[in-house]
Amino acid sequence: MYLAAGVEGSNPTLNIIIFTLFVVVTLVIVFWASRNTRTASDYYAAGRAFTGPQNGIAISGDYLSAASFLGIAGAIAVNGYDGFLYSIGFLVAWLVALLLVAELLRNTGKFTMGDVLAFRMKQGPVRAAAAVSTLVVSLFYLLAQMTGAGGLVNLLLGVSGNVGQDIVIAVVGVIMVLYVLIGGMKGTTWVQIIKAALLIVGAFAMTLWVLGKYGFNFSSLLQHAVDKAGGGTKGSALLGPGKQYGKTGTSKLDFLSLGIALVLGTAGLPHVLMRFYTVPTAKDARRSVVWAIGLIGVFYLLTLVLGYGAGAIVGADKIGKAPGGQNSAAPLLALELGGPVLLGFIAAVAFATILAVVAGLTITASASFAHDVYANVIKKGAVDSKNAEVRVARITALVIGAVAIVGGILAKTQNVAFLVALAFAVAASANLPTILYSLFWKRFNTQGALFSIYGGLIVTIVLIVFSPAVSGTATSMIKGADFGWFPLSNPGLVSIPVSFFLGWLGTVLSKEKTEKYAEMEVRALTGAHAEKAAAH
Amino acid sequence: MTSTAQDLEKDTGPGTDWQQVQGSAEFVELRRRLRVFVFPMTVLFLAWYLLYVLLADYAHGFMATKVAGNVNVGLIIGLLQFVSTFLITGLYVRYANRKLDPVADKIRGEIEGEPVAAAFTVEPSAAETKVEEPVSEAKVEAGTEEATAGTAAAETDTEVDAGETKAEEDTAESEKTAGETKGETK
Repeated sequence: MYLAAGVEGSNPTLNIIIFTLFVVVTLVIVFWASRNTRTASDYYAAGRAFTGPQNGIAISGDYLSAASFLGIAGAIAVNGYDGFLYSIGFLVAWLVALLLVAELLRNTGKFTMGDVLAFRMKQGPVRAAAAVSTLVVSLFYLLAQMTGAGGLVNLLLGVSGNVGQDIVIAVVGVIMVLYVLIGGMKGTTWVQIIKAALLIVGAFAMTLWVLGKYGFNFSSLLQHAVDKAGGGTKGSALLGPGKQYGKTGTSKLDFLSLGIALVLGTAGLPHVLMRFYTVPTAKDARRSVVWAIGLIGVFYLLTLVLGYGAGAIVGADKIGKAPGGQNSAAPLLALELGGPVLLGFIAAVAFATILAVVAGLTITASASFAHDVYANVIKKGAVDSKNAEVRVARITALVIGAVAIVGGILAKTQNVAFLVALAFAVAASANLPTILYSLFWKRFNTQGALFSIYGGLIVTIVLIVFSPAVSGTATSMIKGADFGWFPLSNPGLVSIPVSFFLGWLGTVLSKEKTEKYAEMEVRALTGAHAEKAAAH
Repeated sequence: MTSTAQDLEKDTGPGTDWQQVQGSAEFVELRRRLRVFVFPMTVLFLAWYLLYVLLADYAHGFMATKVAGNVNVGLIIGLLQFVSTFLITGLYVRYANRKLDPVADKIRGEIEGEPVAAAFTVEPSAAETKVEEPVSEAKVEAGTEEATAGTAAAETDTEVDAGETKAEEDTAESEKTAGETKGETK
């Protein structure tokens, strides 16, 4: 492997040693955690035996991806206030999960979103639809993480050149598949818990360090960030909104669209939904969300300080010129503060972040295929043994790992933010309306669910294909072509209302009556006959 | 543990008249309490978030107004989004613990009470508001062959229903009289 200093002052060997240490320690824990993994409930839902706080920490580990950590800190360092807007959308979104989704979902499903829909609708079609949207969201999210890993490698380990990056993407993919195959949900959850703890402790220490430099005066920190950015009107632009999104009417509308997709997308992300099944009761699901909201909220407050701190101490110019651009803000800040050792630690945390998120996505996608498509659509619920279903899930995880490695290598030059925005937009359009209707609307039926899932999926993807994200601008996916007619990069503003409408339309156009709503509603609200924790 | 008993329940249908539970005064109250909190709160926080996004999007001057040192209106409103999120989370947890969980637990106990009693012969917690006899009959019948489980369940259903209806009337009157009924029927 060809090594070169990615960031000046960085010590690639040290970074690789710290990172290897993390992988070894987590693999040992995954082995230890997996010794009891036998049934489907163990593999998909960790035997439903995690406590609320444990699951809450794991949720924040699942949710705080590299995009949250490196992306938001970098966006605040370079674009100031506009970077902060992301974190608010990502946080407020959890209220949707807390108030409307988490507990009711825990009470009515087993492992996947498809379970909830299949409760009172025609199993085959709705499970297939739920699996399709789960796979689409997971794959786009997965590709974004893998692509991000390629960029990070360049930045943090100093691995450059095509072959070097490809090798590292493959290594990330292989380790992630190992976590999932060996550890199932339990192993994956522990990786996420460890990673969340490292990430939050690391960010907290750096925040104290930064604030300490400015006498714990946030206003003084802001002043230094403004001065470093050139002072005057140019520097002050960091403090108010609009530096990134305020340029034109379209870009403002685009931001509104993004804001809506962020706040409604979270509660439709399949890997987030699946985490609610790892606890014994709905009350624990509630407790998990409370812990997640607390940790995620605190973490985003830390990134606010880190972002402006990077702006003040490192400076936007230096960040922009570093390999990895904006994403290098937090690592560069770590280097300025604590030298190569702290940089090595942050580098390892960033990798751990990608590994943990990718593992969570893989297990979700494989569970959706094995449980919804294989066990309930192909085998019509008559799987000879639960072991067969888990075996299919493991094979699926291998396939997904391979797709992620190949996709990550092919897509490594693509725009990561576009893939994540696509995942959120699909989740908010195809999944959320379907889940909400299913939980709260008596009349909702199979045709309505199919309309909202497939309709939402198609509308979202069509709008994205014809958006500036794919063609027509310098930063588009396909350069040198322009076949776009939809002005916004993020389709949420249109696709979310359309999906809600389609769900309603499909329902009223069908004569199907679902009789099981009484049972579903009673069980959703009371937790009667909800899946219990496995006893080991 | 109980996995086989539970699986059986799920496959054969847990022998509960869901329509009847759904229509019961207790459940209607539970649903009312849930919806009366979560729907307005959802509207509230979404509107507050949307207001924030629109201000950040279209009122740059206002958001950039300095309040104290370099801390401007935008930063304060942004931080208030954090505060409101934490606050709503806390309010909901308090509300759910006090107003939702007790009712949900009670109804769940009543629904899960009978079939579980058959497998366990443990005194179900829900039995305190129920007439004893139909429950013990249910034990006997549910214990019969699986082949006739369907009809047995149907029979116990009606009997248990009668018990439940009676119990509900009791609870509807007041918690205290329900306690007394328990003593009487025993």
